[in-house]
Amino acid sequence: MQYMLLIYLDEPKAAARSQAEVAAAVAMHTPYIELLRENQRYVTSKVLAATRQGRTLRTADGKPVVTHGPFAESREQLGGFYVIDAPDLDVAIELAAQCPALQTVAVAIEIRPIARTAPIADAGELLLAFGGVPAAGDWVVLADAGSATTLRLRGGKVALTDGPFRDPITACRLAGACDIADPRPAHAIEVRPLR
Amino acid sequence: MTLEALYREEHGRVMAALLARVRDFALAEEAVQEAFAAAAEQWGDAPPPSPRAWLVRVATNKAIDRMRRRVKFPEVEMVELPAPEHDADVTDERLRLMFTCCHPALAPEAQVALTLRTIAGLATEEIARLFVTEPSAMAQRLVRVQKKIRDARIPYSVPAADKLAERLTAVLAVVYLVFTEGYGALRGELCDEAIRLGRLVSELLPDEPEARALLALMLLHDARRDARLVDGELVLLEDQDRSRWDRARIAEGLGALDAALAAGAYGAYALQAAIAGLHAHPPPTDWAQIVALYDLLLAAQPTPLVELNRAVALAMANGPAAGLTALDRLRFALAEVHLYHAARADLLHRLGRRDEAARAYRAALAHVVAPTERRFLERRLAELGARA
Repeated sequence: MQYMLLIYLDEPKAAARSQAEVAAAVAMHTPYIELLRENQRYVTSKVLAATRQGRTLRTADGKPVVTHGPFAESREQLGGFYVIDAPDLDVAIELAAQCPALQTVAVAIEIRPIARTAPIADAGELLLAFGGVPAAGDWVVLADAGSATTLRLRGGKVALTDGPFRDPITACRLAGACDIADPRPAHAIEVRPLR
Repeated sequence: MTLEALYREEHGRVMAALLARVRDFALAEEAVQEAFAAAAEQWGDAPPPSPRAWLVRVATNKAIDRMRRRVKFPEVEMVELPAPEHDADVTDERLRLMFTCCHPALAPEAQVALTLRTIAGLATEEIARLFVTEPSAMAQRLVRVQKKIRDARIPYSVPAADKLAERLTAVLAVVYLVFTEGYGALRGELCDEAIRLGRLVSELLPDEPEARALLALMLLHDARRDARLVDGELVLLEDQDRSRWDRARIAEGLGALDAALAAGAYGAYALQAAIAGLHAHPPPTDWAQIVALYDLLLAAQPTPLVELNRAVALAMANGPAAGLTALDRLRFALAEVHLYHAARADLLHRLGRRDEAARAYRAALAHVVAPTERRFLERRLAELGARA
């Protein structure tokens, strides 16, 4: 079964890092990906650009409206994700707990089972749907937010909580450009360039 | 045995045996309910020679029937296991079930509710009453937990040796929470349930001394259950009629405590059980030893409530003035907790500082919730010759 590890970070804090710090943090992921690959657990992973480079699509009075920035205004934003393959939640938790992001900028990692997979294209942008799965297009559908588990580092130890980190993402999709004109039945689609 | 007693006794075991076959909580629970309903209908006065095996067989068939009808969920995992002929053929899978119910990816409340529902076989209404919530809300919560177990694939297994200690902590915490709920709310049936669960875990994991220490702790406290209330009113430990203590429970508790300590238990449950064990001995109580145990407990569990208990013990060992000084450190941390004010009031009273004692009792009354405790505090205040 596939799980998505959604990495949430403190965006202003992450943005304030020096280039060397960013490079060091990114380098930590190479051995982690290697470990996942060796154990046949790796599916994919992506790093997202900052939310100010993103845009959000909503509908108002039946017409699509695009605004700049993220779906939710908050310091804490999705910074990247992994998709892993694991036989059960215990294995997924163990792998997520080893994710180097927890030691660097992540405030939390949300583990969400994937209810329906879709081909993941190698493309320039990530679309995140909130509150439903858009009718148009092939989406990776996440299992109900009630099935989420959130990991945080507390006093050097990994702590688990039941439930999602924040407004639960319902589905996601990689696309070349935002080719969706209508987010419905989702409330909104956030479009984020990849790094 | 009546069917109701059988339900209490066998629900957890039948449910666990079924989940070993059908990996879906909601489906297993429906099937187990149906099997018990079928038993009520068919057994009459002549239950089958192996009632447990009968229930597992019938529940398995009901689950398969339901799965066939429920084409929407073809993903339910089935494990082929032989249908049990005799009760002894039903392997005890309750430990696996406990670890699933007490999985750390489930909210603590959800762990308690699910354990009471599936292992102890409590009805949703009973659990709702325990959580002071509506039965419909509790039913929804239970559905959500079962859905998470299925959707997120929470495993149905006893954790590997390297994870066992950590995960066992969560299981023991759930059992103890059930007990303290029952003990605080004077609900004996919950204490009985917790002791049953505690016995189960310590029997299934005989090499885990902390499990046995928890059992000892619960038994030693529960032994005083009948003496704790006279005519519906609370009686302090020192004023209790010791002839009303349950000698069998004390003997079992002390036995479990000795076994746990001999096996190297040194955690919070073992220390609290050792304190309860000293209280169970005939007077005079060894207060110095109790203070020493509280010192160790405070190191393991540095919470204001442990410090409060230590201060009370210190007052008994070294006099009320020493206790009062120790209590004073808690004046901010426990400003809203009636137990703090009540303990202070008692020490002030013993020191003859009646006006201050009366003020402290009034502060305790301002924060107390349970009616029995309220009446107890009112009586103490009246003994001072003061009015509330």
